[in-house]
Amino acid sequence: MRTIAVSIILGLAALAAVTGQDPRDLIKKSHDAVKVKSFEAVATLTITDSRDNQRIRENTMASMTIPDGTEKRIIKFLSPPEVKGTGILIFDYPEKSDDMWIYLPALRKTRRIVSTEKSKSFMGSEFSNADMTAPGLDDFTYEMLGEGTVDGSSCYQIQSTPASRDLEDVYGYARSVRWVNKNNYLVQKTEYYNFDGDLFKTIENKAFKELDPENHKYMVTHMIAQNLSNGRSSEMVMEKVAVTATDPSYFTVSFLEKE
Amino acid sequence: MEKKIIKFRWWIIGVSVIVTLGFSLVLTRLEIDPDLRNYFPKTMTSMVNTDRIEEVFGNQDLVMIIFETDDVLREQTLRRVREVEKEIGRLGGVRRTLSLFSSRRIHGEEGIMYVEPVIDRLPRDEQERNLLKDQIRDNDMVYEVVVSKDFRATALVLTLAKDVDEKALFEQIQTILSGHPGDETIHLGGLPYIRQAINKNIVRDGLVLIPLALVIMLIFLYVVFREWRGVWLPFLVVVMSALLGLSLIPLLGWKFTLITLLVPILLIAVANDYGIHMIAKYQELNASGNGRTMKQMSAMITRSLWKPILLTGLTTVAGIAALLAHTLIPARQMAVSAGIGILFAIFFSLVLLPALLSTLQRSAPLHHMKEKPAHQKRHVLDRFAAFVVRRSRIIPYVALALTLAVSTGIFFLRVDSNEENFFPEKHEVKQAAGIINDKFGGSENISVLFSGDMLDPVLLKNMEYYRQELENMKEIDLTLSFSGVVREISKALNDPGDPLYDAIPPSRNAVAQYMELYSMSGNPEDLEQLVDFNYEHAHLVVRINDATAETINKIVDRLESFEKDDPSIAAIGGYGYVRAQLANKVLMGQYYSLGIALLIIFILVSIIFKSPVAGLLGITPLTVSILVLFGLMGLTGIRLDVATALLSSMMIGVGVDYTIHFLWRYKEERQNRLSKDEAVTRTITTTGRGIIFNALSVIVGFVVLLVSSFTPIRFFGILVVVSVLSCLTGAMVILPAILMRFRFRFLEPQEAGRDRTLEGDLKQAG
Repeated sequence: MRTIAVSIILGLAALAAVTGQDPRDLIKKSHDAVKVKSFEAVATLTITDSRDNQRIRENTMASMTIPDGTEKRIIKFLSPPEVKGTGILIFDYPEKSDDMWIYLPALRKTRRIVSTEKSKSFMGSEFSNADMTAPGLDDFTYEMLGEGTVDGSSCYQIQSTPASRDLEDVYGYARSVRWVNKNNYLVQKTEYYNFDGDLFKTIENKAFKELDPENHKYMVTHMIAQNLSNGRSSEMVMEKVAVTATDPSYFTVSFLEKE
Repeated sequence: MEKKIIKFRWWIIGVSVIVTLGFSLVLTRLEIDPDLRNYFPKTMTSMVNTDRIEEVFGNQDLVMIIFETDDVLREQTLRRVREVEKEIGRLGGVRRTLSLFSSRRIHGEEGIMYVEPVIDRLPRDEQERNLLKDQIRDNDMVYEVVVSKDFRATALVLTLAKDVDEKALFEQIQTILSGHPGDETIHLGGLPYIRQAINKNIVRDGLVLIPLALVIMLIFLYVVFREWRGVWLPFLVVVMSALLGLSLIPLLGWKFTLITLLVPILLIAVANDYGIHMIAKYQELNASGNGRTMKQMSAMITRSLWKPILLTGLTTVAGIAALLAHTLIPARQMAVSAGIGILFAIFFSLVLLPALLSTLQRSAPLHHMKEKPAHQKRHVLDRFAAFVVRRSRIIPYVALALTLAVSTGIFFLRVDSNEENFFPEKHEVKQAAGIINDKFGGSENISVLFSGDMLDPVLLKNMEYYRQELENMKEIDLTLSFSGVVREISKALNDPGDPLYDAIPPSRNAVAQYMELYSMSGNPEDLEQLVDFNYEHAHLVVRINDATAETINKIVDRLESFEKDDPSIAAIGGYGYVRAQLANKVLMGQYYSLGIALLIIFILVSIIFKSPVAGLLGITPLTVSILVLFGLMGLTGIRLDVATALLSSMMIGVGVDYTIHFLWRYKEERQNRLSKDEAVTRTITTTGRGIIFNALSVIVGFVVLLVSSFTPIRFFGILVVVSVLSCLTGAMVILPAILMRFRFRFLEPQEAGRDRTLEGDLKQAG
């Protein structure tokens, strides 16, 4: 009897500790923790299909956010050899549709692309572009589900639900559950549920690098996405990560065409 | 033997009931298989190739939801499509949706590549609609794929998730559709939907046809015998043998198919024949009123009837067993389950029925049995017999001429293996199929698998050449291929006038870079049906709207001519091809099982009458009825399909009985020293009644098939009537005329003694 009473009291106390934290606030902190103004890295993206065929792409990427909120990104392929030098330059404006240029070394040709819709998949992988960037905080409502441990780290378990039907369609899922590290607010793992309530995708962030120790800014350097609906998985490993991509000349068509 | 039946009657009854009930338990495990592709033998070249292609590119089955109206670009129609797509896209069982809204318009202008949704903003007036129409006409990925040429239909195409519960999914889709009402007519199509409809109709048919056939049989039995034991005893034989025959299906690990539906009906129609003869004999003995006990009578019935019942039963089993040589897998399964079901019916009629009868009280002899059979009928048969005798000189020639005339129809006989035609004209599946064939390039596929380095421009140029050549054939409306996608990308990346525009790029690296860029901007699964993950295999899909075997054979011939000189073409497959090959095989299978059935019948009849001439005589009326059947099918346009193809060898097994009965009696009368004329007249007026009666019970058993939901099964019902009538004519008109015109030694008077026959008994039983 006493043990039951004690466990009830302890349980209530734990719940109070959890509910003491505002889930929306925690998610904002998790966004802030990975918000860096600029970075560059060499990334290896491995996409594995349901039959264990693999496509491995190595590229360099750099990103810089300018004061008006526009994020400029450049990606250039290092391997495999047949696509070496292929590049893509994106200006991601906060309000209007992206500007994009591509460069095809085989034809020595640059082409501007005007797209009214944002691509959903990141470079043909199981990561969506929304996974790679922080989505709008107000697009979701949040709920604290409890606590849990991921890879030995103690985490808050927070559910995000798109705030409207239209937003559900934009994001393409009914709800997601994030495990947010209690110490540094980094998202360790995310589960995505479809409109039938079934889990269809998980993303695990396996490693981080602290880029700005002063402001506690991190970069995810190893992430794995598992798509349960098509059996594919994608893994991204970042190396040589640095915050040095501040030279505006990186983000120009002439740099894109440089081999 | 018959004494033992009476002695061990309780054992017989007990064991029969327990065995039947025991076997029937497995019927609860019976599963339905609506998938026509499982009916085909896996060893067919086209099937092997199709499996190989599906291994790389997965199942190609799509569901199409078609909205039909005057102009699909009207605002309310577009809104409806958009809302429905949004909701259906949320279903877990749907992996992808494709419509006007989810398709893109990719075009290049002045150094810029534009990627836009086909419909960015709903067009508000005629002018905007016309502009949109022009854009759609230029868009190969949309025009005739999700919008019809005349803009009167638009399709929402669904790719389903693996292992989805199709029944539940279609219920969800129906709910969504009714939640968004509108003026547009909605049609659902595609193989998963057709399978679903077939499944539903098999269950419906099973639940309606089988009970209905049983009820009709009960009424028939009562009308014939006018006492309840004459109803329930043959009925019990039918039910027990049908249960045992059907239980073999789950027991052998098979599933219930469209064709299996015929098994219970066949058993109901045929299995009661033997019981009917037994009851007729009982009534005859009972009416003769010489104070025999039930046990004595029961034993006598078996003693006098076991021979003719066994003989006619075995010929029926032989005809059905010939289906073992058939191409279709369910036809072979039917041969086993129906064949064994009939063996059980013979056993139950000869052993269980007298055992049961012996336990009953003697019933009051029927009033009409004591009288002469109705005068009018006798009169009709007398006149009929007189006619046959009088005209016996010309009957064989008239019959020959008529048969030859009707059999010219055989040249028009066509084979059909398309699921869509399982349904009547007015059925929604059939109507949707009509629209898909008319407006969306057809629902039938031929696939070509390429293997090699898919980034190699030489290979791609060849693939593109084949595609162009195919598109130039008038039978082909639409082709899809990986090379076509590469060309489409080149149109977006280069301006018109540039040599790279609308062309396969010159180097392997350029192709690789095109594809890398495409995979960056699109959905990673966009192309998975046309090229595999490692660019080692690619797919060329040909859609055909005229899926006749002749058209498909022509296209396959063309493809094979390409294949001969190009090692990168690894396989030619697709269900269009499978069906065409099946059609050829159904025809061959038909000839095989017919040939085998005729051979078995020839041997059996030769043994029965100890003369090969008798065997030849026995198969003559059958041959006539087969020629007439196929001729009529050709002339009326009824096609040989999965169901009607089973008809002929089955009908041989059933129809030969009439010939055997006739010859048996005729021989008997000749041995009683009657002249040919007298013997024919006597046989027609006595045994002829039994034969007509027998044929009638088969027709009555099969007539329920006319209310089936499947066209092939309905036609099967109609054709059974035609076949039975032509077998009847063969046995009652042509055979006697031949017997009179020619001399057959095996029928001539000998020293042989008189034997009781089934026909004689039936005559007396009335």
